[in-house]
Amino acid sequence: MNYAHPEVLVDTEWVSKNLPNENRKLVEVDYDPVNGYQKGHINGASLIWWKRDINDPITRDIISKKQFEALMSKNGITSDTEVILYGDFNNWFAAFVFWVFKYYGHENLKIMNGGRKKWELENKDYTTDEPQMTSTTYNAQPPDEGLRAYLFDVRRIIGREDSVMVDVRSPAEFTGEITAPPEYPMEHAQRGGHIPGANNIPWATAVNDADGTFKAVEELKQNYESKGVTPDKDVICYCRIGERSSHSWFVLKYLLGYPMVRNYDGSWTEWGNMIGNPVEK
Amino acid sequence: MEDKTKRGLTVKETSIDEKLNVKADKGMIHDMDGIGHWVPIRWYFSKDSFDLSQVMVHAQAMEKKYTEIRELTCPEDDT
Repeated sequence: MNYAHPEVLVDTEWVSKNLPNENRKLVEVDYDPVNGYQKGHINGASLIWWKRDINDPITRDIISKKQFEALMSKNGITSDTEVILYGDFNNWFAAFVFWVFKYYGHENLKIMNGGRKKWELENKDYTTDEPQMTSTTYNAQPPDEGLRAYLFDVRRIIGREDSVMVDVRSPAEFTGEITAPPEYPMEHAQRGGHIPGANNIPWATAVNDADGTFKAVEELKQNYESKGVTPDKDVICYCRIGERSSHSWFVLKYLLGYPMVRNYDGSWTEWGNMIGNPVEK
Repeated sequence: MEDKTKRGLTVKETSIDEKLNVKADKGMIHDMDGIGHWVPIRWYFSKDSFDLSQVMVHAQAMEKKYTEIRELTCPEDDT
């Protein structure tokens, strides 16, 4: 059986044979571009730096429609361009950017399965040359709020049988043993634990450990359905800052074809810091 | 010598810390912008090259650095 939307994935082999051109752009999305893109990237790829390019510089929020249009222009992307995303950290941030592209209505969008991890395992070439982009005029769509969950959406579905929450963090984060690993001192919260009623299905259960590619559809179905995450429910995914949860959002929405899946990008750094929010351990 | 503020941090490599010229376990910490920085977690001073008083100099320098950071963020009110 195939993925519900196989058109959203390309493999490393395809990318190596289909270089970017006027109508196809390759974009590396990094959390840490100093140790990623700047050390080497796929020939022709431009960079989206998650922190600098996708987040508002002042308010905690993703970029506005206008900022998104400017980012697309800078990367030589029009609303008809085929865009292929890949990145560091198992494609977490590429998935987040995929979610933002969809939020602003970009249609022709794909992820390179396995990201930098698989490309490097295959010893494929990198370059440090950065492509010259001609700026474009990009007209984004109004935000699709059906893809995004806010704090009040999460509060509203607690305890509802027609809804389910997927906490994609590690079991240690889910139980409250830790709020963030020591590597990320900026991502802690005042309380540890999880949103009441959430299911712990770590993002990593959706990928093959060896190369970071997505598991086969039957394995994915088993992974989620056995924990009550079924397509008839309103599903909300969350993690710590919303990037791992956009990876699982991508799996549920595009690989399994669930009709109603939202990413709660506020995630634990919002929920676990708010006064009065209920917490389960 | 160990930097206790780095406890729990995963050791990613063991190599020479060029600042002290001593073999050290190192991990990576990501800053506000997501950029990863290599940081030493513990240093292995060889007994052949260092005596305790020399190690103490480095330990006190580390202690002083953290005292200054604490003072900067949470100054004690002496009034």
